[in-house]
Amino acid sequence: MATQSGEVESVEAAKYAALQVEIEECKAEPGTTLDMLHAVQRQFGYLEPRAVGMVADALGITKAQLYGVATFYTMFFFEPKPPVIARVCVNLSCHLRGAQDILHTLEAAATADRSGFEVEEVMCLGLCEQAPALLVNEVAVGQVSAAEALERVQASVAACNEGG
Amino acid sequence: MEQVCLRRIHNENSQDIESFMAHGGYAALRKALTEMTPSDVHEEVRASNMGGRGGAGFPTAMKWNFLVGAKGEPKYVLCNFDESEPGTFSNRIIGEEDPHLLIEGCVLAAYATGCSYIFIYIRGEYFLAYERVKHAIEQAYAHGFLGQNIMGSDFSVELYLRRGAGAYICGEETAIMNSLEGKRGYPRARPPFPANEGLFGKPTLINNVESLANLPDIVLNGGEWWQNLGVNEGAGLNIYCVSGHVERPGAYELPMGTTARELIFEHAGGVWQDRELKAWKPGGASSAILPADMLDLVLDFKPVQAAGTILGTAGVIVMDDHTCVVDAAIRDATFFEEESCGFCFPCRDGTRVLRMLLEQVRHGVAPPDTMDLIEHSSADMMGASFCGLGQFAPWPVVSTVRNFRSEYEAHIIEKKCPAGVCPMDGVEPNEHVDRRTLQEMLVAQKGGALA
Ligand SMILES: Cc1cc2nc3c(=O)[nH]c(=O)nc-3n(C[C@H](O)[C@H](O)[C@H](O)COP(=O)(O)O)c2cc1C
Ligand code: SF4
Ligand code: FES
Repeated sequence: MATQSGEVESVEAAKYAALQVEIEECKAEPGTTLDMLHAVQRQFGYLEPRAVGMVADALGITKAQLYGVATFYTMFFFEPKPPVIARVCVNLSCHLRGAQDILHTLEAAATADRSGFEVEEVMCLGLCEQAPALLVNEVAVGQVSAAEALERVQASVAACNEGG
Repeated sequence: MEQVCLRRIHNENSQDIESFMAHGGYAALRKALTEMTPSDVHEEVRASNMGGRGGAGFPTAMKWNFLVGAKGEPKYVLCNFDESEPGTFSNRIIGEEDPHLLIEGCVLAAYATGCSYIFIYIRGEYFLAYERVKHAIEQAYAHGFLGQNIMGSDFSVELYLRRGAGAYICGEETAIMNSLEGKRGYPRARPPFPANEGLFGKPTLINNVESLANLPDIVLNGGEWWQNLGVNEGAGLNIYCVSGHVERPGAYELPMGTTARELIFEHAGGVWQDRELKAWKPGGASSAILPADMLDLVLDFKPVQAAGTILGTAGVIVMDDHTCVVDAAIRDATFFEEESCGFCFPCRDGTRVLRMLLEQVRHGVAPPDTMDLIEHSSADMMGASFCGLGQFAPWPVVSTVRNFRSEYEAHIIEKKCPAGVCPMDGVEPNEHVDRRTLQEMLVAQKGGALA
């Protein structure tokens, strides 16, 4: 047990260290507040509070001020998330080509036990010519049936599980 | 057919600098830096008569004038790559498939207007485009097309790529500056205009990706050549994005001034599944929903405006005869409610009111005065909203009331959805629906008027 928790701690420490390097790089250039927050989310999967504090320190503002900025934007998460996020577009072009089917199919599957993914209804992803469209983490998926969309999401979950 | 921005996208490794240069890339920059003064470049853009592709169609050369005359250093080029208007994806295709074209355009704009820094602000959801543009920037620096003394000239410019994080309003020209400065993306009051006091308080030129991507060809072949590519008095080419119920959805770079009929039926393959056209939109969510009998509309800024709506981003959305216009309008209404930044009352509350009124129509529980209320709330929002989002948000809704009145009457009076799409189940929405006009609500709250 002791070694296991020790490992977890060192993994965490490595994340903070890697983040600190990214923060320093960002700090050298203007206009990088959102990039720093993206870096936090890349390391921790969400805006982990201690890491947000590191960004606030780098910017010379309070954590409260930084949360005030971060909460304006829809892509940031404020609690831990499953490894796969499916962002399903529900705007007009996708709606006309079956977005609701995809949404309902994925939502039903996501509520099942240990599904390993979460579904978000999002506004236009700029993939309208591929409607109905979604993002599976960072990958664009379009022109799919609800069943195909679910397969893509589950494949992504499986890949994440294999990767550790 | 002549192509400008989309000419290279089907080339192998089109996103790579070798491929770009093998197909004439960076030749315009070389020409500008070795043979032309900044005002020569400006002159060609003036001759092109290009209107900005970000939605407003504002003449690009005139916008550049403001910057050339502005005091303050340094000056910035801000490339607006926030592209979030539903139905619009031309910027994404340029960024993914021909990122060097965008970089070349940015450097030309900086040279012509005396800017020493370029920012590209790309929406957070464009992961692939971000990676491609980022890689292209590294290549451009390595080849000396960015940085100090570009191509041995005395012109130097630095380029920074920044990511948004999910907020349509950050495409608005002042909100994007607040966002880049690390603030919430609220719009700013104008004046001061960005050309005088923009990003970090300095003179800033803000242009759309597609506007900038046209610059290399304008410089190489001349503004007059580019202008003559248009038809029906249109200037140049324009990328029309077509989506919805067509056989071949996609981005079509065609002469500015192409009619909707030609675009939809000749290029996009017509309505899918051999169905009839029922309704269409000329320019993303912010534009009106129009009936099929307006198909001969010339898709250029002025003619569409004369018809009572906007060309906007030229994101054309097509709906077949199985569509219910109330069901379509509520998708746009939901978009604006979600994306309203909440800064001002008419838009924050108005977008919700419109969506709730449509919710009642869909469920067959809308009182008879609903169409009047939609008209009133829309007028209040158009007149009193602080920025373009709230001013244009009512269009998809109020236009369906005007253009498809009999369908609303069927829903409201006969309690029937003619297309058989709406639930019409008599269920009241579980949120409270305020049936006062926005004006009345505000008077009740604060004793004040809207505007
Ligand atoms: C709510 C709102 C959102 C906008 N979003 C974008 C956008 O995503 N991309 C864009 O280029 N312009 C957008 N615009 C228009 C910009 O304010 C600005 O006019 C444009 O970037 C100028 O570039 P152009 O002159 O090259 O068209 C938006 C405007 C409003 C009111
Ligand atoms: S009109 Fe809407 S988006 Fe614009 S400032 Fe007001 S609330 Fe924000
Ligand atoms: S409407 Fe779904 S991606 Fe644009």
